Amino acid sequence: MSQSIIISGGSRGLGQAVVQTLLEDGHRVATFSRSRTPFVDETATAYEGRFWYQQVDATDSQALYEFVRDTNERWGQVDALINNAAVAIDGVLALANEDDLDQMLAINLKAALILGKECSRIMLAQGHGNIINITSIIALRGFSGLVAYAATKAGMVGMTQSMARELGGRNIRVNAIAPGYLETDMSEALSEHQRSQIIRRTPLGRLGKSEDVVPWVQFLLSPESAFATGQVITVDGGASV
Amino acid sequence: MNDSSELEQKIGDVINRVLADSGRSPKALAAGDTLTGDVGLDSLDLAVMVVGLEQALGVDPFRQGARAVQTFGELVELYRNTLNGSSS
Repeated sequence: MSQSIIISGGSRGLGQAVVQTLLEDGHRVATFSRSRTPFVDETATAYEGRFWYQQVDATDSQALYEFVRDTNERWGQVDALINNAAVAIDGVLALANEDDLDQMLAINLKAALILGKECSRIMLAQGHGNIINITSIIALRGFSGLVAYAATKAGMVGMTQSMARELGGRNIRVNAIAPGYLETDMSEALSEHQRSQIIRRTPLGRLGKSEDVVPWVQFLLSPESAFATGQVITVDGGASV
Repeated sequence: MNDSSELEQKIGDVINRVLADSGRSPKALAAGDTLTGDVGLDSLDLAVMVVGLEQALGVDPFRQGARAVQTFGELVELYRNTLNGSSS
């Protein structure tokens, strides 16, 4: 059944792959990012009426509220929210720039909370909903040089479990997906040494791809996962085993 | 909109819709009724009520920083003040 879905950060990387697949599946997809990409322009033409994009700064709570409100007005409901937007600024914590810490907290965690707040209000009123938080294996296992990023992603795990408890009785499910390192723009910053270290520690012997994660999003959006809430699904090629 | 009984009626309608949606009977609301005790709303009911009031009245005082209120009368007062503030 066609759903009305909001996904943050759907203009590139994993978000782009999720947007593309959900549109192919027949859903209506609303997404935003800080900057427009060629993918957005192509998709706006190819899926006119079912794809809605706005340039929104995720650190602007009022803009997030307006985006959710406008999506709800446009399509009459918000069936699902996918909290995907994130930034990773690496470097040891001892030398971290405070503005970088603020930015990661604002985009990775606070924006997810604000979107969760705004969407859950709509979902409570409509009597159903589905929230998927894209966290990271780093939230569960840690990674040198990504302390603040790990903290924000671990925050998302706590958010997932608490929202699942809070909203389960109102027919709203909340789950998280924790990918390992993916071959996306965000992993381009890895050094060759880090890259081969991750691959060496991964039983399936490679970095993940967006295509490895997207089917889990589809599953969590589907009725087949109706009895799953508060779960964190690890998709990391076994690296965390 | 600023007419007191009309506002009370609109807020009461939203509260009774929240009760009806979960299979509970509507209530005649008095100013002193506590929302969670006498009316029987839980915290998620209150969230649904606030969304319903935003749709019905076009304002959400809690988004503007208002703290929780206890009674129906306080709720009406809060929305009256917010509406008066937003129209001035």
